[in-house]
Amino acid sequence: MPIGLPRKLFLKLSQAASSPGEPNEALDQAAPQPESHSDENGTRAVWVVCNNNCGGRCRLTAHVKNGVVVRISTDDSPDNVERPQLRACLKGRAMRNRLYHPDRLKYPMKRVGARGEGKFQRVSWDEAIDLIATNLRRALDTHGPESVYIQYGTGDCGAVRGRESAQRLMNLLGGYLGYYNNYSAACLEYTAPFITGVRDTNTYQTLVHSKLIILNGFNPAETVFETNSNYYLARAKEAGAKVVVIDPRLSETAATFADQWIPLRPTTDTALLLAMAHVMISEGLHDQAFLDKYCVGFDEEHMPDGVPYGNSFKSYVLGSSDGIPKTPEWASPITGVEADTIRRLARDYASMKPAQLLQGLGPQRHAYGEQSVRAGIVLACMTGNLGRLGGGWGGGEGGTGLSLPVGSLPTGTNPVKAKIPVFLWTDAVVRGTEMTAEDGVKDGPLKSNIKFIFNLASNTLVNQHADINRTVQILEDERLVEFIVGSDHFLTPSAKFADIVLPSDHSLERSDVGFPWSGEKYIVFGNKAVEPAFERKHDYWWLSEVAERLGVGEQFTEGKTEEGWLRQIIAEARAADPNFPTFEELSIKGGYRETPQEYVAFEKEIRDPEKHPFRTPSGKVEIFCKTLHDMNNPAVTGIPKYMPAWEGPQDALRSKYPLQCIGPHIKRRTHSTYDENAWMEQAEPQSMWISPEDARARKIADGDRVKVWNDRGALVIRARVTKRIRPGVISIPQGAWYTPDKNGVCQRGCINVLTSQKPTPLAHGNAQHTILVEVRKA
Amino acid sequence: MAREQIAFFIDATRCINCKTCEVACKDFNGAVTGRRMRKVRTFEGGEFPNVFAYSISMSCNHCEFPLCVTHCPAGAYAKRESDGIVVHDPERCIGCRYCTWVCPYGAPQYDAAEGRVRKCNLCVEKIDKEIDPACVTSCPMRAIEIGTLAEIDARPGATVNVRDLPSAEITKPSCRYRVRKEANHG
Amino acid sequence: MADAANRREWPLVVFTLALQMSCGLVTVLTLIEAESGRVPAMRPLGLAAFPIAVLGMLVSALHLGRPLSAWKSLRNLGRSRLSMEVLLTGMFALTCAAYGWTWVAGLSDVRFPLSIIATVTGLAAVVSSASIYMVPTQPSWNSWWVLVSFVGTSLALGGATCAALISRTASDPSGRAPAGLTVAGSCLVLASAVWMAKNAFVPTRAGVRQPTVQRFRGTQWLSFALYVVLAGALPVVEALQLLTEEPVGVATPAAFITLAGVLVGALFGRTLMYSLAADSF
Ligand SMILES: Nc1nc2c(c(=O)[nH]1)N[C@H]1C(S)=C(S)[C@@H](COP(=O)(O)OP(=O)(O)OC[C@H]3O[C@@H](n4cnc5c(=O)[nH]c(N)nc54)[C@H](O)[C@@H]3O)O[C@H]1N2
Ligand SMILES: Nc1nc2c(c(=O)[nH]1)N[C@H]1C(S)=C(S)[C@@H](COP(=O)(O)OP(=O)(O)OC[C@H]3O[C@@H](n4cnc5c(=O)[nH]c(N)nc54)[C@H](O)[C@@H]3O)O[C@H]1N2
Ligand code: SF4
Ligand code: SF4
Ligand code: SF4
Ligand code: SF4
Ligand code: SF4
Ligand SMILES: [Mo]
Repeated sequence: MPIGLPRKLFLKLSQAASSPGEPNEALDQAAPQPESHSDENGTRAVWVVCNNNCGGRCRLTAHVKNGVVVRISTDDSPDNVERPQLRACLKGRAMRNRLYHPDRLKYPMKRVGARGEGKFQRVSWDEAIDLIATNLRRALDTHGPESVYIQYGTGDCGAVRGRESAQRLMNLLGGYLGYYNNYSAACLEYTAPFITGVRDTNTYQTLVHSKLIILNGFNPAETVFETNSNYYLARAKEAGAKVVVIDPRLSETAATFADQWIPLRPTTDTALLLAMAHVMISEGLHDQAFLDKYCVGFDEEHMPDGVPYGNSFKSYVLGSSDGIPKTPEWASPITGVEADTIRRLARDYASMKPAQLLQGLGPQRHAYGEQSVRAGIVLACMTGNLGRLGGGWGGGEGGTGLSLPVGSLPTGTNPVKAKIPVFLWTDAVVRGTEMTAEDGVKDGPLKSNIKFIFNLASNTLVNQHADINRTVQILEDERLVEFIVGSDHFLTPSAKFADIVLPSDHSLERSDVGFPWSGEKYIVFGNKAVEPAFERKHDYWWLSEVAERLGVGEQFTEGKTEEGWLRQIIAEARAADPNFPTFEELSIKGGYRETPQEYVAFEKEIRDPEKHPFRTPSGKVEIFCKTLHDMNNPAVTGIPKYMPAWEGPQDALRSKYPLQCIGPHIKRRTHSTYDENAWMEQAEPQSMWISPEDARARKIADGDRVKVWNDRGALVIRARVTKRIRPGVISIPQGAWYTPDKNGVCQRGCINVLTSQKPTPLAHGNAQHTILVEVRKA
Repeated sequence: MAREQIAFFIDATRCINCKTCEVACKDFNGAVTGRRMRKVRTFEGGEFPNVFAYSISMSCNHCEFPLCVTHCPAGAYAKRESDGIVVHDPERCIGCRYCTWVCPYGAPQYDAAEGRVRKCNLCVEKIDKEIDPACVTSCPMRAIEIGTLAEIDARPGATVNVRDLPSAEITKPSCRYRVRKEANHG
Repeated sequence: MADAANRREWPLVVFTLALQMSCGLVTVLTLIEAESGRVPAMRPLGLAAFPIAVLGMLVSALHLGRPLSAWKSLRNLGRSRLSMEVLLTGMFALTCAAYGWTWVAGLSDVRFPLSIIATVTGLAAVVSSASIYMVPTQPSWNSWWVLVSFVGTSLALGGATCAALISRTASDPSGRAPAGLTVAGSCLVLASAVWMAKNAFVPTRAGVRQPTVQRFRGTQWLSFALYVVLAGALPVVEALQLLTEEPVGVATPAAFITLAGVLVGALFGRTLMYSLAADSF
């Protein structure tokens, strides 16, 4: 060893090349001492969990001295290719700046001004709980259980959460108005089962086997999806994969990994994919045998009974049904991508096998977002990639459904069967009883409009829902929603609209577990690192007090605290799988992890279609879906079709609002969480991307404050002039806190003052990326 | 005594510009918001649609000719004989900010509230205990490493001449990068 | 955009100008004494040099994050130009004190030798002060123009002050030194402005963020113009007139205007200089 050079450097360098760790032992090696692992000078190191809704789930250590978290570090188990450490991102590392933020809510408060005005008065927990119980009782008595709505909210991704606790409470009190879908993947999750029976995806470990990886509006460099998604992408590249990124922005993913960037216009993915299909068909590059064997509806020879001739996918693509061949030349003016580029991509995709097409959720959070999902699956079948190692199609997460069988707080069953699509909750406030199946209401009609809202660990009440100005107008009218309970860490734009605001503890101030979105089999255990300061409480606690007041306390708690439930959840997992550790072991080791696996979605169905048919009516991949065809809705088609989006590039409204505006999820926040965090603002200030062309035309210079507006609202934001975005498109990162000035112009750049509540046709999902706007210097 | 200069190796071809290293460093080193002892900068080039962008994570480069050591009037900087780490002693610093003028890399970071500069000391308190620095163990892409300058300089693709970085001739930084070809200036 | 901190360097503006004014004063006084012998009106100016230098030093401490630790800036004398500047400025202040004391105590024997020593130390301090800015990482400064400007400003300030306050009368024959030095100083100022003017024309290198010479932006143009006109052209014109005129009874209004011009011009020029600090990388 050379003089003066730390041994660790060499340990590390030699380790990189050395053998993998023993399966299932990595975590054991990491944490030798009970309750905490080793640390020096009076500092205790405690395993904690980052439970943000980013898809990842990382290991964090809180270093605690005299009851204060003085430092945060991450996974320190052995790091190797087989079991890469679960390293936290910048948000996890900035946890202290959130935990100890001076603006954190300290006490329960009740509203004193007009709703939304932001005037509150401190009250005791007792008074707060009384107020909630009284108002809930009144809502149930006057309007019935269907008037109670528990808002979508992803602020806490643990196992014992406020939202589930509220559901449990309401189920004991006669039920509540449920919802289906989410804001993330409404189109994908609603549509994919029609085509492939279930939604299933490959694990990221399979990426190293791909020759070509097409990332279609997928930006894991920021959206994570799984702690090590980017690590596996880097490995795939090192193994020689070509990476193509289709995205209007040169996203961080594109900048890092893309061999080719295809900057198309938002909402036009389906046109691009159809043109690729055209190239494959006309050049005979598609895998006809695969299509014949596993799919229905590709060509006229393989159509379900009772469908008139000319309705197959092939007929549509070749134009024999509508007279418009979906050639690259047809797609080029729509997508803004050169025909030759499309042609080359189609040839690459058809020839470089195995190839993996990964669609992010961005392309489906659009008008007709259902279609691009469907077109993606068809291409994966046309190239024979579905179900093959290194091939396949994926919408987002890797290998969902494989996860460890660890449950969460049992909520019981909801006596109310009626459900709304989550995105239409504002409509259910205004005209719930009038809504029909056309609006996506299931098991309706609703017996009441929404009158009481729990908004727990959620900023969806105002900030994350579309068209804030409409939402706010609805919420301000106290005759509509009569009572709103909010719990959060901060007085968020949503919390401002609550009648009672409750200060929640933080995940470092309680014990909990965290699960990844993906199918990687692990959980992270979060020990309580510090006591909650001031009067901060867990949502479960106050909901159990409300239950007590309403006479269902016993049934609600079954004698258990939130930790009691956690212990039960873990005991149940252990009962199902004896390898699963005990609560104490989890606490010491900071979690449990099995070695990541290569999992190929639909592998069984492809290997043995007789024994494992696709779980669709036909048992095959339904390129033509009779169920959808029979809905007789011109916007819901039997095969995937390109439909020009409202507020899309072909909308006449562009003469007034010429720019398309998308709202990417960015690294410095999860949604609106961390918008308050100064470290994050420094790492990535809230700013709008605009191309040099569009900026020049408006005399906008880099760093200028600009105003962005359409008929629904206006905001002010700093412009970042960059070549990394397609001309004609701007991007405003979603999640900034709605901060209106006197005239209602948002000063922080919250994109949802511009977005629309118009739902997608089939899923009734949120098309929050589809808007047209204009920009000028502020 | 033979000196083995410690150096950073930054694999910018893996760097996703996530800024985790920056925040981890901040958390480990006093948590002052405005102070970026490690800073990730992004550069872009090319013409649409053939645009490229890359990010460079950089702290103090523990230069072979450290202008900070030469010029600090208070003698707050010293280059360690044993491993070439340029250590800054905040206790000696009087906050004249001259080092922020002479360092080509913006490594010394002034904080008005403290009235002093601080900069990356390569986590010497960790290094001396044979533990990797906070930034190295934080990077989700494993894009930051440390090693001896000689070893790192010999790595495939390692360069010190990067399109958008100040000329390495000024201070001879102990840092090597692997960058995409458009950004590699030899 | 450069750091706001770098652009607000008023303590350094005051300090460098005070040092240069004080150095200029003793230089002119030394020359007057050499040319014309001692004259009565020199006394207040001779007394002023020390407090001006000390004021400058005190104000300079305000630029530190830790003003009370200012003395620690002497800790790297072997290498640091900044340490050297502090040392030389301190020595200059001491020699000014001694020189001033000769006026207070009437020690006329040692006055002239002391004024020479003060002049030499002062010029050395000014030169070392300029050297601080001549570093490769500050391309806008890294040339001889800073030195030329500092020396020129010293002479112009000292010269103009003397020209305004010491009249050339029979009883107080200050000779031609004040006006002559003003002309010389202002010519140097003009020369430095020529160098500085390259900032007006450098192309900003697109995309490449090497430390580059800063191009003038917005009001920097105005500062530059005021520097050239007030600290450069005006004094040359005025002082040339003074040089050619016969001795007059009292200090002329023109001399006062010149002094005011040099001061204001130098202030703008110096502020402009600091605002040209490289964008922090
Ligand atoms: N850091 C961070 N990570 C997160 C989140 C977060 O808020 N912050 N949120 C998490 C959650 S809940 C979710 S649901 C996911 C969201 O994950 P996604 O929905 O995939 O993320 P988006 O940023 O909306 O979109 C991904 C990419 O699609 C691009 N895009 C937009 N419109 C189009 C289009 O029409 N066509 C194509 N081809 N591309 C388009 C965007 O430019 C962006 O780069 O991320 C998760 N991860
Ligand atoms: N325009 C536009 N809008 C979008 C999207 C988009 O792409 N574009 N994306 C949509 C998507 S995919 C999603 S998932 C939604 C997300 O929308 P939300 O689920 O509302 O997510 P957040 O905005 O992060 O709000 C979570 C809140 O929980 C709080 N919180 C965190 N931890 C705790 C806790 O332990 N207890 C309590 N009580 N509170 C806690 C946080 O402070 C934060 O205010 O946004 C949607 N909105
Ligand atoms: S925000 Fe997501 S990726 Fe970041 S540390 Fe938390 S869990 Fe991990
Ligand atoms: S990077 Fe700057 S601060 Fe660090 S050693 Fe080099 S010159 Fe000094
Ligand atoms: S700011 Fe501190 S460290 Fe930097 S040169 Fe001045 S005294 Fe030295
Ligand atoms: S070595 Fe330590 S001080 Fe230096 S950048 Fe990394 S974490 Fe920061
Ligand atoms: S942590 Fe790694 S990947 Fe992220 S910005 Fe830093 S160097 Fe790049
Ligand atoms: Mo989401």
